[in-house]
Amino acid sequence: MRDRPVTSARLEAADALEAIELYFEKGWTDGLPVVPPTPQRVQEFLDRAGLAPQEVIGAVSTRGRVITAEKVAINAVMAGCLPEYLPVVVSALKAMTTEDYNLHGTTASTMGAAPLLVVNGPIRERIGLNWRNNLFGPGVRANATIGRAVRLVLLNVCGATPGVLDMAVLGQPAKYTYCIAEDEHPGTSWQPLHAERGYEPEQSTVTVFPTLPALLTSAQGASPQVVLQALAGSLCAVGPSAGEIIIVLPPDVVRVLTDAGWTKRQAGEFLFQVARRTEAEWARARLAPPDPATADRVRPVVEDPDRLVLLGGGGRGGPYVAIVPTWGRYGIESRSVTVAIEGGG
Amino acid sequence: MTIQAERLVLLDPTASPIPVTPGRLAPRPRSLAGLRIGLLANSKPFSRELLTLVAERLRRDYGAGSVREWTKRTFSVVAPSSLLDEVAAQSDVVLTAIGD
Repeated sequence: MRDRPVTSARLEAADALEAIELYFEKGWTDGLPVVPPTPQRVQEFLDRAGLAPQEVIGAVSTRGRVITAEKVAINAVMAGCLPEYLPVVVSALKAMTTEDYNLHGTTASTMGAAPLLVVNGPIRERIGLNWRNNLFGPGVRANATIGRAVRLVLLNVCGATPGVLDMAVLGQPAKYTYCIAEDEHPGTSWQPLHAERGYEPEQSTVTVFPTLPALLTSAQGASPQVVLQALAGSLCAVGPSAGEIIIVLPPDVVRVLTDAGWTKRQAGEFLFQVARRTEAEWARARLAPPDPATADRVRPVVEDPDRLVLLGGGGRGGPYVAIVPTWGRYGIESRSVTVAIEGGG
Repeated sequence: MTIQAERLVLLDPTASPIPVTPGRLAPRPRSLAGLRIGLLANSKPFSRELLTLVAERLRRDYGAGSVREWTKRTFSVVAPSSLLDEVAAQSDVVLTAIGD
């Protein structure tokens, strides 16, 4: 790969501190200092991943933008990644540049979606991703910098500059960085996300969801039915407009399900059956427009049980569950996309 | 003899949009009298109603002719070429808008 050098424009600084200030001045950061990207370091990242600098990772045709491996590597260095993280960043961007995900709409929206990366498979352990205590952060380099690298590419390569094309009214902290690994064995008979989506367990994958801010709730109970009924109430607080709803279950909650012999699929089906309200109830909660003609019709919180995405994750110590709705109508504005991670195992 | 400190060489992380050849604007009609108005709504609530209101003013005040409506599947994805071709083929002037 060294016979295909990087071709990005070069600039100079006296030292690393001056470089950090320079990148702030240029508007090339997310508001936090970046690691200065030298040609040698960027080349090291590309060589480790087996990527040629000009290899096209994806394109945002609406904006006339092309994402090359070189630009991803530069922004990954800036984010503070290690070379072995690059395949995850690259794969996430491949997922985000599919038509199904809709990078343009999800990053321009006034509601302010943050891409959540969920990593499955053996790469989690290999590169030190976290799926336990403080799942959503802070604390672990792999989680923090992989998510951040994606944000820097959106900013520097895809034109998602706040106030220019990114018109989020409020934004969210998750837009700095949002990457987790799934806890694939929180209890017996628990099928991880990528296996549910048809991948072999040994295949590492990343799934990207366009998310709105999470709701934290508690799902205490001694039986699956009690736990899931509690969750159904919180799901209904989100309302029936989310495309998908992610439900992150810590081990203390998963054990209640799996000890009673329930699988992830059974839990999802039960939730789908109980998390529903009449149109009048949705309207009364201002979660749907009122329509007297359909007032008594019952509508579930999502259109299909597969749109409730159950994930294992989080530490021991409490039955705290995160409910993360996604942005946009499923399959119309956006939907989650899963891709295999190539080059990283 | 002065010793020059080695400067740090860095890379630009940004990419610019690919330049496109701008299309030519259609010629502006001298009058709207009798012309077919096409409305392309973006699917947001009340987008159709707003465009329809403007079209009715064009008919009332400028003698514009028939009005035909289309709506994009979603606001957040570019209208497909087939839709744009259909709107252009059935309209003399087109009214659309961006908004929330």
